[in-house]
Amino acid sequence: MKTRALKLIGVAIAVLLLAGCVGGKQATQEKPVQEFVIANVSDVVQFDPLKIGDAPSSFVASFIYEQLVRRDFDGKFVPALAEKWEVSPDGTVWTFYLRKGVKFHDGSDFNADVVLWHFQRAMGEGSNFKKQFSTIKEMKALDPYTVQFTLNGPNAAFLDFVVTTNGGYIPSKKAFETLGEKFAREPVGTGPFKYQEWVPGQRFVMVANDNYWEGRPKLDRVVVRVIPEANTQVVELETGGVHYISRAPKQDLERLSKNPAVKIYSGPGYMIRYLSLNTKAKPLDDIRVRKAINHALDVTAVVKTLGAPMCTPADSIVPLASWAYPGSDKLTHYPYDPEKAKQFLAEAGWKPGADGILRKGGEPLKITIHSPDGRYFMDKEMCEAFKNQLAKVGIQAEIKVMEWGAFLEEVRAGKYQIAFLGWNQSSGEPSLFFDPLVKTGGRGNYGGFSNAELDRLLDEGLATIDQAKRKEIYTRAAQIVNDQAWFVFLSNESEMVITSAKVKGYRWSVPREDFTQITIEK
Amino acid sequence: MYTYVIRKLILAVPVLLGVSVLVFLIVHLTPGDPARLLAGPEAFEEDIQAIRVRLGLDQPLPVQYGRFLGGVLRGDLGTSFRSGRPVAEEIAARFPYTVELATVSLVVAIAAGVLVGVFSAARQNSLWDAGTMGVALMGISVPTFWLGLLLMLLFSYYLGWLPASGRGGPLWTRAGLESILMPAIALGSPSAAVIARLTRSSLLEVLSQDYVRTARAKGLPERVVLYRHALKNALIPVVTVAGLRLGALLGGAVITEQVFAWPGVGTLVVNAINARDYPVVQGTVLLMATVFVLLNLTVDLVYALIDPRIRFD
Repeated sequence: MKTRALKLIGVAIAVLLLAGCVGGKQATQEKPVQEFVIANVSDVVQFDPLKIGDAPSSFVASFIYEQLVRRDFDGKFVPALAEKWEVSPDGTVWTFYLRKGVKFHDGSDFNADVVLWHFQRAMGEGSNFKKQFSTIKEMKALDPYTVQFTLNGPNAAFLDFVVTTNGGYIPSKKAFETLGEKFAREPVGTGPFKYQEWVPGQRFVMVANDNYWEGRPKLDRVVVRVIPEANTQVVELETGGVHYISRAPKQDLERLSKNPAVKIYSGPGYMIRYLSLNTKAKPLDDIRVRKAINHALDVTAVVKTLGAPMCTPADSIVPLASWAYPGSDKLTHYPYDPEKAKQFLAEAGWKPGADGILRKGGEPLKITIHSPDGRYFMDKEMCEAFKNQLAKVGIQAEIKVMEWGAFLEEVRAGKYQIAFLGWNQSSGEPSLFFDPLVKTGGRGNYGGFSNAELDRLLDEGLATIDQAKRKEIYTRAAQIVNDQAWFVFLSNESEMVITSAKVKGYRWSVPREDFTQITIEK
Repeated sequence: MYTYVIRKLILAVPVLLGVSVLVFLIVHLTPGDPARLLAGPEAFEEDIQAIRVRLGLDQPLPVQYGRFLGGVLRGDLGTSFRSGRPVAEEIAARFPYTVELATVSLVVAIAAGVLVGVFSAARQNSLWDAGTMGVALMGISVPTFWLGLLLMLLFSYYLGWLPASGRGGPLWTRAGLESILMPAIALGSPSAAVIARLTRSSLLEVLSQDYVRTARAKGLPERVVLYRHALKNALIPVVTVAGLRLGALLGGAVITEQVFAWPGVGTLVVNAINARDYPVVQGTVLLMATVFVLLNLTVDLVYALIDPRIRFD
């Protein structure tokens, strides 16, 4: 009986193999002419714009949905769903003139009614961005294609702060009313690509929107595949399985940059990396200790050795790529100088003990550095280097490497001395960095940073429309931040995209990438 | 035998209840706030608090556990924090692929393991024996992650024979078969090694028994002695171990699935853990525990079927 069973299994396997050969031929036939395959690190989650909080979903949403305005390759705002817009001189009233004749993928019209519905929903219950949108006091339609927002106060950064965020993606109202639960799974927008299929954990497929207001994209299909491992993404790119990846391990980057079959696009993003020195924790409440730590670390060397090619050394809370970056000559620096560091520490009362570790009142100078594990490029490796440099001036540092969720919880609660942190934004608007990170009580202000003069400047910055004047204000603000030595500024991390060289017509810059003109060379 | 099965099933209830308490506590006591991770590090405190309330995370832990257990008893595993889909639906979309991968891995492991084991036992204490057992030891020791990348490098990068990652299609299509080969080998190799070593030792033991001596004394050719008389009995413990390995393969596919972008519950649960998507983690672990319990029971029963000496009285 058992041999018969074995024989049956054997036959079954043979049949499967044969079927495989036959089936394989069919599968290779129906390939569309122009198909672009993208690797995404994890599966998309959902597409209700008011609940998008993860990068993979946000990325895919940008193919399907559009915002009232968008950023061009040079970072300037250009019309999208609004043909033009106006702002009152005091920065509180914003008027958008909507593009006429735009249709959603389900055939419904885009107009003022849809815009008002969307922004109202964004301000209501169930929106994850309620607070952000609450800057809007009231809104009304002046006519079917003109929308006017009145803000609670002047906000020169309204476009950055609200309109061009994930919550600013405008979905079809008809889809919301008719699709029910599918609204969040089968997104309907006005963008160049339409939803076609989502196979959880495998792929999200989009097809060209024939009626796109800017003209049909050249690609027929875009397939977004889920490939979690960076190593696997690289192999897939080099073997032709995908055309586009956005991450690669450091050790592969050099090799890839010499490979003529791939193209690397990269530039410093609006992503700052820094050590946050908690002013609420001893001994960092003493500005002399904070200055000493700044002097003790050879940031440029560490960033250049460990961070290349993804990190560019930086010296300010304002990203290098921002229009508001003051310029290096305008800022206070703390160049690498262990002697000066020791001097500052001595002034603060820290004297070397027998073992070389500094002591005050018998207590050794011990500092813990919180580091995430790979959230930022080479984060824990850089912390390791800093630890050694701190030891040279007599500070005994310890590194606490934590999983991201746990790290965030502890650091946000202010339970740290030094933490390796980052802040990412999709634009270089300075208030997106200053207000959360250093304004008193800001949502990313974990280290108890507070300065009355700075707070006043930041309010003034938001109430000023003229960009030249704003740059002056934010330059002064940046100077205060550096003078307080609240941070050790490390680098700006680069945005990076690697495509196959067969991809033609792809256009990239940090503020904008364009997929509509892509063709794939056979 | 039926009373045995029923008794075992009843005994499974407290086990699963214990698992539900454990996994609930582990996910809830792990530091990290689902609402915060959902909203992103740049989010506002007010919005995070609103999400917390919406997800019921502001309730005391016993209340949350009560809700979870109540749901499970009604067959409702809850709703994913992230996607808003029912957990059962999320798992149903992924679990078949994990089963597929684990099953193929097991087939590969048994085929390779038994072959190598017999080969080795038949040449006991030879250089061949030592060599194959050395390889088997490596099979147990090599991390799947590394082996997976090596396979990918060889078969996709250098040779270009197989697709590097993803699931190409159903198992009966060529693309499907091609795509499952490497992950199945990577996942199955430790099991293959275990089975090879077990087959060898079990076969050696059987070969030293009286009835084998009798068979040889009858003048049967060594081939017949080995395959018809000895192997059958030697494979009894192998069946048990193979059954238990299936549980380990189902649960251990997480890393293999990550490396090969295989769309099973492994990748689902890794993302869920990173995002502290409690319902998805709880649902997946509970499902795995159930499968494990049922597998063990099945192994017990199969054991009785193939080994007439065992009775459930």
